Amino acid sequence: MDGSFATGAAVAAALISGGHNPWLASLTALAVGALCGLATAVLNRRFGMLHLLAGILTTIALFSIDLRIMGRPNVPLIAESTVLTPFEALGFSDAVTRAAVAGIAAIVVATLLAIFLLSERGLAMRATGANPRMARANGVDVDRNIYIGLAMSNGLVGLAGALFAQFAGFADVGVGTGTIIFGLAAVILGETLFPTRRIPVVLIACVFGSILYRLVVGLALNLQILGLRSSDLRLVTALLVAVAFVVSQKRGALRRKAGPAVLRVSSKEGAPS
Amino acid sequence: MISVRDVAVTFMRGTPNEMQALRGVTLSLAQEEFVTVIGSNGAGKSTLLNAIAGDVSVTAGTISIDDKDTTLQGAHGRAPHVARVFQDPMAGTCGSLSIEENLALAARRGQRRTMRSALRTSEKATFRERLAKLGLGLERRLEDRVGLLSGGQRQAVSLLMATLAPSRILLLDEHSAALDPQASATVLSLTDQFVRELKLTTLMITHSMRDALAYGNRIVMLHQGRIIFEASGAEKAKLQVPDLLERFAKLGSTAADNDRLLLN
Ligand SMILES: Nc1ncnc2c1ncn2[C@@H]1O[C@H](COP(=O)(O)OP(=O)(O)OP(=O)(O)O)[C@@H](O)[C@H]1O
Ligand SMILES: [Mg+2]
Repeated sequence: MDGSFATGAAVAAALISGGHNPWLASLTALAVGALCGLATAVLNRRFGMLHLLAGILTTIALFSIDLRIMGRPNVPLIAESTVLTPFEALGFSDAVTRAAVAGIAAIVVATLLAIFLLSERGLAMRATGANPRMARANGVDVDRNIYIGLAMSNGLVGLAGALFAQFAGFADVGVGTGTIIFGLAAVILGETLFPTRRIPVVLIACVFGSILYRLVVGLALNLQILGLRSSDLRLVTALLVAVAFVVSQKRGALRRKAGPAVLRVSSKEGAPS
Repeated sequence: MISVRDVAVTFMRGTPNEMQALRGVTLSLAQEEFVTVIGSNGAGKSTLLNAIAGDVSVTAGTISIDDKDTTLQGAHGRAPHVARVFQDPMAGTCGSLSIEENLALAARRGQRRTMRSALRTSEKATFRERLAKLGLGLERRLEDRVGLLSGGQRQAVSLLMATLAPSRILLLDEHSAALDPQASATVLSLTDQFVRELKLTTLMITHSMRDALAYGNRIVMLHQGRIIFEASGAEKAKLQVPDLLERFAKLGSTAADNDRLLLN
């Protein structure tokens, strides 16, 4: 995950600063992210490497590859035309444009994901994550689903990296660090907000979870009385994830709802890479 | 027809822990035959079922379904022909999915999965009707997660799932053993009902000699990876629990003899 995010950003930045179409650059980042996911899947399924290790290995390799792609550790995109450019021409304020474009991207991706997860194939993939033996007994090709799942999730992360680079106006080898934890924080917060299993609601919960996560972290870092500095970001994130996890566990125990559901969601999304 | 020919399975081959779980088993099941399998712990019963399902790869021998050799196929490749219910109620169902999602997944066993919606209104009626046959009131709980059900209810759902799509063989591995006596009896009588109604070819492992005699039209006894006794039809119908016990007792002495031979 961390690796695919930075690589998506690197690919998009390199292509855009090379004068290519930003939409094409974003799609290429998606494809490259998917390839990174496949690399992890091959290590895990083909060679039987523990999924966490496979993910870490891919991430390390990608760090060097990102430097190759960009040619240097940091590529500025301030002066380039990005996917935001046509929307900026509409004349709304910067903040409104960005929020709108990010919102549209989230809605499009979440809708496509919902359609997939509710389909026969999506159901097979969810079963693969939750109970591979049962999935196999019902004719699901578990290995293939793991390949597809990791390619899909890392492809989306690559796309997210590409969009991030264009929104932030730069790509950096370090932008991916912590992506998986941010993602986990979003999922846990979302699940705490909307404790449900209905797929469309789960996806909406993830989107709101990530917004809430940003808000809480931003608020914590900006509140003078807390005396936090921006360098405390990681500490705040870790605390937030830990607290949200404990809360959802507690609630789970009370309602006999599977407590570590969050962990299951993260394992369903595949190994981090 | 399912035919298992000279199948051997050795676990951890070439290590000090080498374990010959099956040592040449030959067994064929004709259409609509219902075979019960008994044997002591470690006799190789589960291994035999796993080999037929493709969960365990065989060291020697062949397994064919309708004269098609499936020995090298994996479990999902054989799934169009093989339906199964596991001993562990957790294993055969997906606790985080709803009852209807579990059923929809199983109803597509052996078919290509498409991008069409997994839950269809037209199918829900069928699911409800089939669930009603279980007599557990589950037809009103289609959207409940399976994780909320009791072990017996989950096993009944597993059984239903295994019978939704057509199969050439139904494999049951002590599927009522983990349940309390009442739930166990319910699941067994449902099994018998489904097998008769749908004319299923069935291989059922059980620890209970009474159940092994009460159900099915053939009985097979496994011991140390070999079939040591078989009876079918009228011969099986005449068998009583004491007859089986006697055979087990005889084995005890030969097993002991073997040990003595080894020690000398
Ligand atoms: N995956 C495995 N790896 C190593 N050994 C195994 C494996 N599976 C089974 N065995 C061994 O093979 C032998 C046969 O096991 P199997 O599970 O087939 O017995 P069983 O007849 O089903 O017994 P039970 O009545 O206890 O279920 C046992 O000695 C078991 O320890
Ligand atoms: Mg067994």
